[in-house]
Amino acid sequence: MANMKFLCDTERCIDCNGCVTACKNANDEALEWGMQRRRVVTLNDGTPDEKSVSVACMHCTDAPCMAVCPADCFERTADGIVLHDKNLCIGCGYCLFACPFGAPQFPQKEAFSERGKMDKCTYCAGGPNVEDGSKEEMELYGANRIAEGKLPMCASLCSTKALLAGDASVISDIYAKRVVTRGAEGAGWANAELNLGYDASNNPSV
Amino acid sequence: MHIKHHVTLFFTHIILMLSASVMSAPEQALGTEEVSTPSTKAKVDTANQPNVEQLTQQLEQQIAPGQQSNSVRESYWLQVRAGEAGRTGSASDEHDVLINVTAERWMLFKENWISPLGAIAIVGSLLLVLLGYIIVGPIKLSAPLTGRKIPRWNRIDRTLHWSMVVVFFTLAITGFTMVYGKDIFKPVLSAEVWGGIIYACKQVHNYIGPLFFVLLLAMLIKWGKRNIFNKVDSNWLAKMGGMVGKHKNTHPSAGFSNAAEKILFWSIIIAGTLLTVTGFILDFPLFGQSRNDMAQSNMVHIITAIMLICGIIVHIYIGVAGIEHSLEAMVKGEVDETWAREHHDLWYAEWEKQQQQQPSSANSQADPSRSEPKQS
Repeated sequence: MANMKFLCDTERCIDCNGCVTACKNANDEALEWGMQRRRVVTLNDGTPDEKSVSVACMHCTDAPCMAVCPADCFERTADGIVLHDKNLCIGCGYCLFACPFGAPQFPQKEAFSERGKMDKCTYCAGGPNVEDGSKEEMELYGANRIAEGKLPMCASLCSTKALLAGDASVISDIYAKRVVTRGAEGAGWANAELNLGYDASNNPSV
Repeated sequence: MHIKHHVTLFFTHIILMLSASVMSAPEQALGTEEVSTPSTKAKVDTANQPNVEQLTQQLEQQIAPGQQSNSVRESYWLQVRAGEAGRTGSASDEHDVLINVTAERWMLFKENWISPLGAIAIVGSLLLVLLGYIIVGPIKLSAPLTGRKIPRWNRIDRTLHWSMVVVFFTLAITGFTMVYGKDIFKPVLSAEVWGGIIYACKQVHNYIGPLFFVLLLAMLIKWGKRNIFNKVDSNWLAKMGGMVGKHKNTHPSAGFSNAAEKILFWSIIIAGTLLTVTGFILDFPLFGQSRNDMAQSNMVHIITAIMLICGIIVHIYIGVAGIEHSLEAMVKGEVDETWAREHHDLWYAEWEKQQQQQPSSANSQADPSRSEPKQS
């Protein structure tokens, strides 16, 4: 099976927030007001060094949230997508502490600012233990485009194709071709003696 | 001597491994682990490409925190690694930070070290207590009971103690389930039942928690003064309370509380305060505390709780089985004269002196006319 990942090309991301809007639109029924699953982070804003990256759940192969969850509500699908069962989530916040990408978020609407059920990017694959494409799935988790054979809305609508979604080997090859084509002085690292060129033929999974 | 040496060595190893695991965490977070796995290494043509491990090492040296670079791409990722905040449209906390590089440290430390070591500590305490029961055995009174009862814990004391028992057990069991439940209970339960249990655990833990603090404060006010350490206690400790060692079966002097009881009391106060403070940080995410603050609080919370549970296991053993006739002090509020004379001689002497000074206000059960020893 595939190993679905996101990849964001810093050379192409123009901080248009189209991915954020696309995500919000596709998963609107499941999202609390004011919460967004995807975000664009810009460093050195307004300077010549400005770079932006769109980030949401990265669907880690060895996901820290999954390891640390006391309710054990996470599962990794055959496509490598990390999903969580909102009926099992207890709102403890552990996944938020463990996640490097700040993907898990908690709506705070209960008394004493108690955390509600965690919400995060589902790779537009809905949620576990609900019928694909059902109203219940839509209200709990949002869209299930994967069941329809489509990729996540954010990457599908990215105007510069900076945000790529798909099988890891496929999207990393696309990125490698871009690097080779446009050239990469120093290949991201100052020491030019280090050969960091990516050779797809070395990747056994291709 | 040999066994002692091995035990020391064992703990030194654990400490070394612990520090190693914490220090190696950021490297793992960057995924260099994948590069150096044997299977990947075998696929790389070693004749044409530099050694992967060497390359990784060189890269690690290059991206040392705080290093400056002329390359825009490189400096961007250096900034990300340093945890620099940027600009984002999201209103959520800390969403302006792209990658929280320290997040995984807590997860690895908790899952790889604290959970297994905590389980060992709790099971170890139970075994220790069992071993104590088998080898040392319950400490019996050396003289027969006189039947004369001395009031030790009044109604307020006992209410406070048993309220704390209920609250402590509630928190310990729900907390235990939140650490070990997914491994112990989830595999044998249906998803619905497990979901209900774990949700109830979190809710009960969070809402009973503040009550623990109230009772802790009441304990400190009610029993704090009589638990202040004095000279008698150091002597008691030096003789190991007459429970084990060369002073076994002697009864070193003790006032109302002996040194071990005082140590337990202050352990509960200190651990309880730590648990309250860290629990408060975890329970109410509305004071701008960062996820790292909460992760660190969680570590302190779990480590303290496990240590306290181990201490309470020993306390329960001593009270229920370890020292004969101890339980009735907290159940009925009174102790037998013999028990008081043997375990708390100074307190007993003080009580006797009081009785002689004001015989009119004496406890009815200590009335001389009713103080004949019961014949058994």
